[in-house]
Amino acid sequence: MHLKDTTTGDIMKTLAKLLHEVGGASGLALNLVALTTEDEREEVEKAASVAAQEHPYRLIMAIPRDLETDVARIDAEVTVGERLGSAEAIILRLDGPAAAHLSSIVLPMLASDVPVVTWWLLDPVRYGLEQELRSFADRRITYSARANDPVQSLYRRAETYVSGDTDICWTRISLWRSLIASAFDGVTHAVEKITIKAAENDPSAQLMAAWLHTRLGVSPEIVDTTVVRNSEHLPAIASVAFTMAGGETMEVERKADGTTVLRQAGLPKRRQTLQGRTLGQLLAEELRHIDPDTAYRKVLETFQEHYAGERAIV
Amino acid sequence: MGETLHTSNPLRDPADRRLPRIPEPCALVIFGVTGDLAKKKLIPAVYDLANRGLLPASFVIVGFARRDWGDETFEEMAREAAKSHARTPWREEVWARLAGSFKFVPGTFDDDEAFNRLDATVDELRETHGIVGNAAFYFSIPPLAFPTVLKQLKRTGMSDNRQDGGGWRRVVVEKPFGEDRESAAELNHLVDEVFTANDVFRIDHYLGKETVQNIFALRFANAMFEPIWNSNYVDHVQITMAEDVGIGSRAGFYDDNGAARDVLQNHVLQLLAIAAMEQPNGFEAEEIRTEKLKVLRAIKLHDDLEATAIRGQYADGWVQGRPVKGYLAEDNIPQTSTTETYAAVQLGIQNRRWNGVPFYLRTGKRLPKRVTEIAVVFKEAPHMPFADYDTKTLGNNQLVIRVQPDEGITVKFGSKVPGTGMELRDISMGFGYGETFTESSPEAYERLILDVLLGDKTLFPDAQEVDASWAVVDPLEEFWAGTKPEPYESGTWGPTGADLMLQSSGRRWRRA
Repeated sequence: MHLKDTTTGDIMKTLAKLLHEVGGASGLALNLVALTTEDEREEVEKAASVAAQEHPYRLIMAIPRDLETDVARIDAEVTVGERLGSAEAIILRLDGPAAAHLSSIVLPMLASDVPVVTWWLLDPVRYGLEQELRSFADRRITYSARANDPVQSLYRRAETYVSGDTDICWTRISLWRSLIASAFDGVTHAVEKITIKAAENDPSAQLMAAWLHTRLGVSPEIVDTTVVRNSEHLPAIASVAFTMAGGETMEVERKADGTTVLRQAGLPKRRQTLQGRTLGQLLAEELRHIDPDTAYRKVLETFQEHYAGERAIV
Repeated sequence: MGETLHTSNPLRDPADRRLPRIPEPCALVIFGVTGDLAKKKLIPAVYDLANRGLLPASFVIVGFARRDWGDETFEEMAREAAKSHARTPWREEVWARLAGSFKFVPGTFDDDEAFNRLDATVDELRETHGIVGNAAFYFSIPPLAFPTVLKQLKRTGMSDNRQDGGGWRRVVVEKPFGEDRESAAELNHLVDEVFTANDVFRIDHYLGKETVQNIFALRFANAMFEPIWNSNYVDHVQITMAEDVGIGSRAGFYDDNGAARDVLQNHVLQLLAIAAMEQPNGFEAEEIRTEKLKVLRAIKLHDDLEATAIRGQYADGWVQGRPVKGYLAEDNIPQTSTTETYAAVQLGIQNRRWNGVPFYLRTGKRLPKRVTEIAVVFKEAPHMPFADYDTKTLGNNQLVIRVQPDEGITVKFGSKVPGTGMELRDISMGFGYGETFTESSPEAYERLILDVLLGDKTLFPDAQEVDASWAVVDPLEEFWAGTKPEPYESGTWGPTGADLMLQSSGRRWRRA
């Protein structure tokens, strides 16, 4: 249902009415507040409807529209079920000062008691809304690969980290990390050298290096490589190779078609498939964990200390 | 860093919960791989595990059955099975990674030569597929064949790998675990002797269900339920496991066993144990088992079994708009069969928490619908400051754990009907666990196979639990021996004797 030039009170009345009509079940697990633009709206909606199958949530999508005008205005679309899957959704288009006072609009719309997750695909600095969103978020999900300078954006995440932050660039290396971790199950020797072939400007590659560094105490070398990816949400990592103290080697290599080969001294080659997941699947993985990801925090610290180089927040 | 040796995997951090638990390289050997269970559950579950990225890079499925097949035929059959029964979407590339990991060994269970070949095949996989000697043997076979296969595994040395280059060996057995206390003890003794007790995994697939595991969370992670979870507040507990189907193609097995042995002894008593047990000290397999065993051993049958142990057998009738045959008219069932397809029984639990609280258990086939629920029915409020006629339709408060389908929890309590009078009525508040989460919640077999490969025994009943459960069922069977079960019309909630069992104490079965 579309509401023109409306108020939060009317929006919530409309939502209550729609929920009443569908005999609304009230098993909400969380609130998801997504900051997006009209261009990205469809992508966000699609991802949100996938993730909603796993996590019943109230989706509040805020789209800053005309920022030039002085007249604050809220247009809203309220849906239950329909194109956003099982989620109850409120899509807000905000003009003028309304956008800058986002928290005053969102706070009364949040379902009580359950956690609030904020998520944005945008470069978070673009709208100056970082503080606004931080004020009520239990978790903040960003996607630094989407920024103009992805690694700089990740660095900014590290500098301004608060408990509960994560980045989709971390989410999307879970499968890679899992594969590497299982290859290490039988390994008893210490690691002496690690080489990562990856696109240097991919935050996921930086996080991979920082993770291995954190866990193994060895600083990996990133060899800048062009990586052919068949999905945007794949990390731009081609291979990770280890040399052990005993001289043995182990390598995980992903080919362009997704075939991933594990070569380990003394064992036959083993194959896996690593494909990029959809944004919705990545979001669903993120929402599975509502408590702060302390493993990520440590990795981000290592990144900040060893890999960020000479950077500053600009 | 020098020559430091790791004792545990340095990449695994308990705080890093994104890294799924992935088993070590291993082989899954399935006996009876051409059967329904393997086709509909086991192989699809393996595909689903692969699809979720939960299988080790080195993983092989070895099939053993009486078929003149090669590896390719087996792989093709497995592909068909996975494609038609997997829960997760079909992705060719996931299958491609399993391709080449299928081995088939033809043979019968008494064929020494075939088991020698199986032994050699599993040994070869150590080199060719890097499984480092780890293997789980899944018995998807009739219980009669268990001893033969166990003896073969012992003879060839497949069940014990310590001499033979290392790696774990585990065995997975399906119910029934014997047909009474004595035969179960024999079977347990045999399997524990061939493997070690710690390597034996008894599958009760109900324990793999998310909702059953959620009972632990409901009871032990919350403050509001446990204080009233006892005889001070609970009037009685009803556990229902109803099926709308008949016996299908299981005539031979079913007629020898009946509902009590088939379902009550395992699934229903396990549900009871989890619902009624004391809080475990921790969540280790051993700690949970200790508490389950305690409560199973505290079960006492009622003295008057005539009134509290009811058997029924379905007659013809209509189920969900279709006419169905009675049990005695099913194929391969003797006209004189006295096997029950329905059993209802009242139990007590002899401990402080449950003193005087009856537990009513019922299970049956050809009932109106397929439903499994645990209902905790609370006592009436001690005093009600309302007129009798205001609370006429008010029942007891009730908490229902819906195990399947529509997994979730329903709480029933009284509320005022809107209006000027003070009329009270029951309302129910539901938490739908299933509706929104099913998409990604793993199938029971998926979870259990993964746990076998990981060596996690939390969700598997052990030999002592099996023994304690038979100790409950054996006296019932003894009492029923030589009697005829009461017929009930298919599509109804069972024989009238079961209703009388509750009516005598002023209670009644809830409509599940």
